[in-house]
Amino acid sequence: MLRFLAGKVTRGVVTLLIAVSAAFFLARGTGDPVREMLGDLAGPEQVAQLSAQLGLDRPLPVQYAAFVGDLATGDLGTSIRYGTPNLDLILGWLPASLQLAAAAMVLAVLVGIPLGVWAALREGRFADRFASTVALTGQSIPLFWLGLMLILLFAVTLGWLPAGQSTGFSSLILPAVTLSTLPMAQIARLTRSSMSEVLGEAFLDATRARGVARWRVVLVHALRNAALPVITIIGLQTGTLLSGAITVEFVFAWPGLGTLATQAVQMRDFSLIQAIVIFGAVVFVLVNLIVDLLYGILDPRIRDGVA
Amino acid sequence: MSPVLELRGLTIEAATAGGRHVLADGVDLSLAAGETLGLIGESGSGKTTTVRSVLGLLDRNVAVSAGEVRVLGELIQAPGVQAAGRVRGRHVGMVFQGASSSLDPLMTVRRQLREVARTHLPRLSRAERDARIAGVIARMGFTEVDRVLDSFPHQLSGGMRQRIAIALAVVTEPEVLITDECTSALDVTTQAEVVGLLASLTAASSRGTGMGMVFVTHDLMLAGEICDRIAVMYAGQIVEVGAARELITAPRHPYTRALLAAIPRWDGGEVRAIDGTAPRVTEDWPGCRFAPRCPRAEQICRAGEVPWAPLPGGGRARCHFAAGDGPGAAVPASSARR
Repeated sequence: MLRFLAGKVTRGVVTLLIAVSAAFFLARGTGDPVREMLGDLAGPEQVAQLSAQLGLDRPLPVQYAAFVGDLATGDLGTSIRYGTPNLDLILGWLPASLQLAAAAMVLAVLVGIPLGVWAALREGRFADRFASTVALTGQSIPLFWLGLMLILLFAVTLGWLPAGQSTGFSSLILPAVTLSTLPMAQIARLTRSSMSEVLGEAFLDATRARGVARWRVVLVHALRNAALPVITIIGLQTGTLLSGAITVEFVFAWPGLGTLATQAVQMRDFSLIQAIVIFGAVVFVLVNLIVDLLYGILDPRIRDGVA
Repeated sequence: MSPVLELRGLTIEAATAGGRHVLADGVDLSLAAGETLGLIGESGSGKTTTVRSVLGLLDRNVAVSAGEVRVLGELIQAPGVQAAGRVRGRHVGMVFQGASSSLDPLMTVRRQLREVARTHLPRLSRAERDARIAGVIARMGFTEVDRVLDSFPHQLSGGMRQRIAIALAVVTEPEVLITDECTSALDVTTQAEVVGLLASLTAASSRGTGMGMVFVTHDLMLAGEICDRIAVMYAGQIVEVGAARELITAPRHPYTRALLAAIPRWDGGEVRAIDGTAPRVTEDWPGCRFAPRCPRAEQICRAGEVPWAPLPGGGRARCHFAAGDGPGAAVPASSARR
């Protein structure tokens, strides 16, 4: 188990390093922040002065080394635009994102898993076709379009729910529903395929032969055995949702990390962009580490290194 | 004494793209308390389908189309009747072929035993159930009871897993135990161990709880060792039933003889394979199903339903010549191993 963990941690660190480097170099491809900040009327001296102040006049490798060095001490830098530490900005905008991601993921799991189980139990019949249609739709529908349609129907026409911004529970419903469609579809599809594979296994017949109730055979024995791939996709999706649901946050004017990232890009605030990307990468790696740990807890064969 | 398990005229059909297949045709069997009944046949003879139907474990396209199954006198299978849930695990335990594939890989042995015990013995306290579980594991020949109980299936050997599967089937002390080729996947020494264990279970219970066992196998000699009676199945029909010793030393149905002749022998005697293959029975099959492969078949064999012939030892065979004076009696019984 320790070796298993050590391997996973090493892989996580390597992933982070790659993400950090990508964030650094890509952010510098978005344009010159100094010009953006000073406007067209600024003279060359002003530009040079601000560049020096921000440390942008140094050669790239030097900037990179300083950047990684700061990161190692937990310093995510200072926002060019706001002048405050990036970490404080992120932590300030994070709660709204957390709330939205959690709501969307709970919805996706609550709908996706039962849908997948139902489809697997009725393989090839109506329920199965219905579930695959729902999953396919959920996977291919453009989120901005779905968001706008939901706003049009429930906020504009019916007036039941607010169209945007975070103003309490009711304002969470539409963005959460919109954001949940993709993970819901993937969870449903994976649950179905994993379940239908497990349902063909002989130990389930044996369990039924022992008189264990059918619902227990399906929901305890089969579902647990089918859970590993489903948990993987839940982990991946959680990472994605947390590190910014940019489209959905934009459509619903949701004050989360996605909106912060959009603004940072518009302002050429690449210190902040870097920080958000790195934060997202850390979240992603952490969530995957948790998933790997869950594997070990759920499947004793993985713990013992035999499967 | 009334039988603990009774199959009467049990007919099982499968609906396939190629029409209806008869998997079991008018199967009559009865198992008395404390008795061990062998059910012998080649793969595809319908023996597994027959016993799985008792617990309602047939595939979706397979169903009982005639006849009935009774457990302790209660009707549990018939066309349109599906009451297997009332006896599964409680009155009828079953052990399957794949030892490793009959246990949940994600649960410890203890949790799986507790689940079964909780389902069927709700009136016992948790402590009483745990005592029962420890007892059954000890009866399976394990000495380190707690270590075994806390193991996951993959941490145990094939033979150990099969003994756990047996423990799961008998922890509720059912009246009937069905084992379906439960030793076929094991190596020879482990097989001997498991067979010995099964024999001890029925022996102990014939004094106590009176557990009857249906022992499904393709191994006639193995069946001869632990069964009181043996039924031979061919192409969905029982073709011969009799006391184990009688059936093996003096087989009366040509198919039983052919099976015995096909067993490799230690004394270097000739091994004779049976020519041809078993038929898939799709529709009404006139006459004896073995006739196309039977060296002694005559006109009469293909003409119509073959009546049961009572045999001297109390058994019966579905053969016109089983009584002994026909061509079927031509092979001396001494061609069998004992």
